[in-house]
Amino acid sequence: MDFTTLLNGAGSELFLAIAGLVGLTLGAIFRDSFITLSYRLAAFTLFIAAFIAVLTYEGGSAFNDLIVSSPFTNYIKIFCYSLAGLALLISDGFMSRHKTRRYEYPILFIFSALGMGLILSSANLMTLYMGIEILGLSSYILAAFNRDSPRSSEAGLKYFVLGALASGLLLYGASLIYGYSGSASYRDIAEFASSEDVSVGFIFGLVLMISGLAFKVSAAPMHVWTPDVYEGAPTPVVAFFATAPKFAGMGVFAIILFTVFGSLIEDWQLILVIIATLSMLIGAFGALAQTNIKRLLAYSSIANIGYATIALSVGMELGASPLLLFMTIYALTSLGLFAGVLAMRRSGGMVEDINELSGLYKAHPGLALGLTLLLVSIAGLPPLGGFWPKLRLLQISIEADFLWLAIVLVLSSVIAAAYYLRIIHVIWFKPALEAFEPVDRSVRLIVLVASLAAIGFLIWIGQIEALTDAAASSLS
Amino acid sequence: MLPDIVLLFIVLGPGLSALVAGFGKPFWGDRFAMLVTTVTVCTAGILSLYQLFAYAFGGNGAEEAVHVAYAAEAAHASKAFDPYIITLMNWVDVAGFKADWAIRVDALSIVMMAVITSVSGLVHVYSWGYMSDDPHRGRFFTYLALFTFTMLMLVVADNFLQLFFGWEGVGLASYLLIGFYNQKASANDAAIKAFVTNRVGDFGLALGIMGIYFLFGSIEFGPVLNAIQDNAILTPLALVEAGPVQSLTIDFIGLNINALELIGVLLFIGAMGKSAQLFLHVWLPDAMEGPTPVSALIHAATMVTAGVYLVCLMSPLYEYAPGAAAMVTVIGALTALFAATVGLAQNDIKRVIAYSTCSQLGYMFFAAGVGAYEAAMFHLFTHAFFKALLFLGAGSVIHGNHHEQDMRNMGGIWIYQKFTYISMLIGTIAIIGLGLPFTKFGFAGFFSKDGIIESAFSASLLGVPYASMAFWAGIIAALLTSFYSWRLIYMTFHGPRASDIAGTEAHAQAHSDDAHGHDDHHSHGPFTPHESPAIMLIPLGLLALGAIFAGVLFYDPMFHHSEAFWAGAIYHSADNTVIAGIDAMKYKGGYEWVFWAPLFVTIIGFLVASFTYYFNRGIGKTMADQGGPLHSLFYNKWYFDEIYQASFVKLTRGLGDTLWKIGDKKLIDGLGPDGMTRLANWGARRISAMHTGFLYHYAFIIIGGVLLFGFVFFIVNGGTS
Repeated sequence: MDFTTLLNGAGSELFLAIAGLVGLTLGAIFRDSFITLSYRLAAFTLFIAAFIAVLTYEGGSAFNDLIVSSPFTNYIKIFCYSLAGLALLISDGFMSRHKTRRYEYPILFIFSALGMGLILSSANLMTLYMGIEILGLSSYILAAFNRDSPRSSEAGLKYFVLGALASGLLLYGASLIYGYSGSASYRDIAEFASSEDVSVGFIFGLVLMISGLAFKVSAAPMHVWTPDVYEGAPTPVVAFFATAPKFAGMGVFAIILFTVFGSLIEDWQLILVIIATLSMLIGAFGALAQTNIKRLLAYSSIANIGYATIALSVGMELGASPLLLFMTIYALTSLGLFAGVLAMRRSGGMVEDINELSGLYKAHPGLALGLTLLLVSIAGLPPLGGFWPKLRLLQISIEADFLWLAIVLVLSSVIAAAYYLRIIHVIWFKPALEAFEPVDRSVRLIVLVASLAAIGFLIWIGQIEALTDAAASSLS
Repeated sequence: MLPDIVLLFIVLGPGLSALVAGFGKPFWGDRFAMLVTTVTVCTAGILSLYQLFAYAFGGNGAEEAVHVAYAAEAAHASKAFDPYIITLMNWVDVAGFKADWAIRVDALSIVMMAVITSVSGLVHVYSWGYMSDDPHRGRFFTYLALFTFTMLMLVVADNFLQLFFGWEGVGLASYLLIGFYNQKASANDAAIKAFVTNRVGDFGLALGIMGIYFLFGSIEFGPVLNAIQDNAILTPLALVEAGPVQSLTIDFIGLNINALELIGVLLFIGAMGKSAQLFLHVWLPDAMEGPTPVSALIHAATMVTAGVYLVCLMSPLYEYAPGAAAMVTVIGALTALFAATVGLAQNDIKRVIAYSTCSQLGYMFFAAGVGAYEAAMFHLFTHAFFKALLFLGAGSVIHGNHHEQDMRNMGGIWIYQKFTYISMLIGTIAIIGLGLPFTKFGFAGFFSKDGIIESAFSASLLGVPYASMAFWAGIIAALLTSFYSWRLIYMTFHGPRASDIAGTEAHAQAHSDDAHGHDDHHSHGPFTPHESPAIMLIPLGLLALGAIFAGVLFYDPMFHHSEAFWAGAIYHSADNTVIAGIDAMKYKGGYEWVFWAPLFVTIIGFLVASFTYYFNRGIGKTMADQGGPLHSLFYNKWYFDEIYQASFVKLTRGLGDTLWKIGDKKLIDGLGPDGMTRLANWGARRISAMHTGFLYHYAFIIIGGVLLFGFVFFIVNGGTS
């Protein structure tokens, strides 16, 4: 195994692993004086990792095929790493104001990114589980990072306990699959799955794995942790949770369902349809009754995962490219929206009630406009970015004869539009309350980037679609 | 023919001037708006009058025209519809559906252009005086010019879409001008009434146009009219089997009827609305709420004749749709008679003239209905002058009498307004059609109205259905016309001053009774009428010239020997020899009485009016006060308004109420938006309640989900694999 192949197959993961370890060492040596540097360095590291993923876009295999990367995985990785880096950028101000600015925080971001890279590139159930645990453990700590706050601790604990449950399900499923097929390698399992020997136990293993993965991407009915964790965890952490791991999780979902168990589509299709339907409905209705903006966005992310699950349930040929397209714009928009939540700071500290957004247009007109664009985009109103992927989803669900999914998609989009519009209403039309505190420059930047992306999608949708098509075609 | 650029100016100039005036008014004031529009429209008027004369009498026009006419004596014009067209711009060009902005120049449009721009120009000039104390005169002139433009667009259209544009445009301008005194509730009501009534007609017109498109696959006049003339084999777009156009049938509300008949009827419904024919006439008298120059221009001379123009333009269609033509005849004849009876009993000077307009339009329609399109157009042409003259004269009287419109409060003012009196007299003589049969001595109305009556008789000899009924209706209406016209003259200009008899109370009383008092600028009380300023009298004089000479000048080219004049624009089928038949009646004897009858009844009308309103002035008033059934029937306009109120308006309101309260509020809102919102909120509460925050609930849900998936998987597989 020469160095070039290794780098092609697992370059970004290797880089992240080394960077994380080095950072940890530096932190142990320099302690508090390393904190400021660690934030900058870690963000830089994440962007470099994204850049490495760009350089090694074509991918390759490494570690005896335990890790196999392709344009599909690299496309997702580029976004995951960048999103993690951006989320780290907007964390700085928040964490220092909450007196929880520690050097471990950025390093946990790096390890989460490593976990995402691993699960995407894994070609073996063992690697997959390892990646999931790296990502999961980092996430649990991040959720509870503000450990003096009971809400944050509670969120971390809930996430941890339920995450352990999900890990158990996943592991149980993986062991069943291994037991029946006799191999943990994706390729062997795929071969077995298309043979005649497929038995009930094997497929039940798949069902359990689907449940475990559904937990990771917070798809209904395994979504139950999401509102509580989103509400309790520090906002920048939530901004991270809602974007990068979701994207990575959906990518892994796609790889496992499409490539490993693609021949068993008839067995898992209906389950995915149920997941999609439940997620869309729970996400839409759940958000309607919320007054806490973080909870609302939690339900919104559940609904959006439901939309993306449509792309999963129609199978690889139709679904792979729209999945990437949808998750790309969703992740960018979501990050922008959470950055907007970070701007909700009044003299008493952070506020999270939706009505606290009132008067934003007076205090920060540019920010208000950006958030409005993002909300309109995520609601799926033409012509902004969010409209096109949704249109594609509608199209493929009709092409695949899932009229039911198309109807639920439209209905839930209509309901979702109601609560997105409610936020816009508060921003522009409710009388202003007390003054806002100034907004961090990084937050403004993220909102600007995200809203530009929402507009850019409208303009370059053709090119982006060509990119996702190409990436999706590498999946097989 | 005029150069293209001049035609362009005639048609587009008024439109541009309306734009410039409308947008320039805030910056440069009312006077600017008035000046721009007046100069433009008057120039256009002079140019198009020149065009008319050149076309009728000019070098290549007159001799050749007369020559051809004699050569083609009693023959029918079978020339194809192929007018000179200036295409300005493509408008719609989708598959077969093509419509251009164009200027069509043929006899019809030349006549209409001349009428519109010349009367409009005079009305513009007149309005300088009449509207001199109105604070919104700039707006008024803008509307007038806008009207002129849209009316011109209507008459120069070479397709139905542009025609429809003009048709709706004049409707809009008419609405704006009727409601010009928008601080008056009655004016607003009248404007809305005009608009709504026209909607009914326009619906018919739109359906007709759609029918034409379905049938012919085109809405351009050329292909449509020529296809009808040639009885071309058509492959309609929809609804109808292919076949020769004149025998196509169409399924419409469950009946299988001739397609041309259907289209003819639908188009005529449109014409009825615009031209205030019976059943759709109710808006015209109320439209008198508008300023008097508007009544003269829009509601007498031009817009209301659009329906007549449409029917004449569609002459090939009506030639081969005898049923539709019969409907035109019957409605026209009934309107002529009906409106004349109502005119007998009205006291508002403008309403009398309005009903007279209605009645004259009836004449034009039954002329077109029996196949004498030339007669209809000829009467349209002459009528424009004397009816505008009457209205402007009435306006002058109103102006001079401090906005008094009730004739009962006038009387004896000829002393004060001699010029107006003489003009009105000329207008009256023109409308009653005084003239000597078998000679060329007569006022304008003599030539055109008698032409219509003779045409109707000639058509009845040919066996055209309802033609004899139309003839008798025309004779009786002529009698009534004479009576109410002279009644107007006597009540307004002769006798003692009303204020001398009854003092001021009667005057004030009448004012409060009459909701149509003009405006409140003037205090009421004894006053001396005064003659209007010269700027109002000059248009009267010019129109009086038209009322005297328009008939005798254009009798030959437009009516009597009109083959060359109308060639290509008006079509006659082979058996339509109505016009030629008149000469046959004239010179072959036995029918002299037909020619004398109109004069006879006119004189009777004059004598009766003189007897009751001049020599025995009290009789008319006594009759009115007794309120016999006939009088109240006429006075209340045959109760049309009341009947419509009780039937259509009530019914529509009731239906609307029901649909709103039950259909919309309860059903659609209840099950739709409101119900859905309730459902969504209910769902939201249930879902929120599901997320309790307890870890063991969550774990339970997750495990439940796994079990659900397992269950689904077994159902799908049937446990077989």
